[in-house]
Amino acid sequence: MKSKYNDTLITILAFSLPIWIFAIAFCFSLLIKRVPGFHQDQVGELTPIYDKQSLTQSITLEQSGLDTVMIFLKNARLDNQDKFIFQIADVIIPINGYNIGDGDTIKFQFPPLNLPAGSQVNITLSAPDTKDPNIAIKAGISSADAYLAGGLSGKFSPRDLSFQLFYQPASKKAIIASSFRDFISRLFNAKSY
Amino acid sequence: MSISKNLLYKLILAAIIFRLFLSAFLYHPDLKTQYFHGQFLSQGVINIYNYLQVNRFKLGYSDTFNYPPLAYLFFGSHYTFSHLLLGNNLNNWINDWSADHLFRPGLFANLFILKLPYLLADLLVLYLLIKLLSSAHRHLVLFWLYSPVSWYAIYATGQFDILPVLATVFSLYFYQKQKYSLSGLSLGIGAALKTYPILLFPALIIATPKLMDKLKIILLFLGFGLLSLGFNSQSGLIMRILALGLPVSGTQSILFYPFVYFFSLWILFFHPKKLLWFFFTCTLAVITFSQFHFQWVLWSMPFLTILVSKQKSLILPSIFLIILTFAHQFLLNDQYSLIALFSPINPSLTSVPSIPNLLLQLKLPLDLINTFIQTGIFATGIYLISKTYEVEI
Repeated sequence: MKSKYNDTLITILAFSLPIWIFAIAFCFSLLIKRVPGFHQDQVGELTPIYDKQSLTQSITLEQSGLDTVMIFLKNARLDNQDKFIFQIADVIIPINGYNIGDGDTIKFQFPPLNLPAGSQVNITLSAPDTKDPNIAIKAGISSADAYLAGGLSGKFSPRDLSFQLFYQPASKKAIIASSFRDFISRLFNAKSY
Repeated sequence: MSISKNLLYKLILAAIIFRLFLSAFLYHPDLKTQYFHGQFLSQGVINIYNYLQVNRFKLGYSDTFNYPPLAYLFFGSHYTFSHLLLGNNLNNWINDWSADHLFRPGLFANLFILKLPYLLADLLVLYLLIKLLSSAHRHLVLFWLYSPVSWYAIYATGQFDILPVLATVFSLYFYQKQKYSLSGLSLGIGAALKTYPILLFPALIIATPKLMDKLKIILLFLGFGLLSLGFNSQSGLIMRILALGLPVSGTQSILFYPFVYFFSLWILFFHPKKLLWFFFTCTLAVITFSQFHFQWVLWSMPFLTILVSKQKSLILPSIFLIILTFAHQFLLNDQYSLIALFSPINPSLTSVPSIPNLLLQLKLPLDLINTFIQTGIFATGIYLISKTYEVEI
């Protein structure tokens, strides 16, 4: 009798193994601090940023809580040590050439922007102390209009900076709920965005 | 302990269903890179090595192809077949190197179909193990079926090591059936997929009783050995097993792996019935005496399953070794060693730092922990090699 009971228990445990895949994924999801937003990975050209040329890219927020922007920058042969300024909305993050490698995705993190989804904000990259474009920090930009919800201003319009956005959702519950909805939609083959 | 046939069949079925789920919902980028290279076969590229030398910096993914030619043929053929089933969903996904690739439609079907040959190979290994085990010990195939090593290496990370593993188990099977040429041919096919079965050839030559068969195996060894190493002279395996040693003077040292390898060959020379032990020792020593990739743990698992069936006292140290190898793997500074493997279910998991980065926030001495894990693997490996020598086959 006991052996039959054990057999049933073992069988149930064995057949319930697939549930553990989702249970583990759920537990790991609790570690997520931010969710990725739009990614524009294309680098068709590297353009210098110096005292006579800054770059301004407009973006449209997909949700509130934008708190990280990653940008592809290149400090060739690590020649440049000048001040380099990242600005988004009223947040200004000054760094310098020491922080930028010879082809590097630099992460700019800031307190979550308190702007609703659909708001347009500008990202500006500038280097007021760099006079020589040959040793300037270069930013990756696309060769065509890769991001329809915004673009570079000035002579590079309608092309786009190479950037990635990350959002800090209001709660873990919101992360799990949006992940679950997204998983279900992708499972049934609908493209989530 | 023995279990009823009915329960055994249910457990085999449950293990297969679990594998199907793992295939579809877990992902490692290595799977994508291998089939990315494989797709060029359907475009008429025969020599992938030359093709990548010329073109790789123009491609979305610029690494070289690091496996022997049969591996390319396998990836290319299966890609072509999968493309017939999956259409452009596969093509678009395999060529998408942006973070968007996890959101591509048909992701789960792509993962499932690309890993399908591994499931078939895994089930063939299961079948051969059932044949190789005596009927009283057949339930011990559960050691193979429920080993997290095969779950992780085959289905979670999608490594193709199960194919050469199948070849080595076939080799052992044919050897036991006294079909020595087929045994050599199986090893040769394995060596044409990955380098390590070449290491088993000398043992097969020694253990084969008839001179004529020995000569045939030597020819196969030379043919497949040249084919495998000729295209892959910078084999990561060979470099790694020659890296660890005891310095004696200047740049000279006593190398651990070659020492164990030749010592075991020497023992085999006097005890040709110890072929299974040699296969086990040769493959286990790779993870004991080198900085290994996790999928290499799979190489010794079928042989360990057979040895465990003969001596139950090996189960505990084997489980201990498996736990240590997982600890070693999870402490790699790679998001895809654990957390990001679940990224098909939740793509945001790629933004979670790797386990060492999370542990560093707790100020844990990771180097010390890793040193103890490596030492534990070293000690347990030596223990298993010596203990399994006593097993009578």
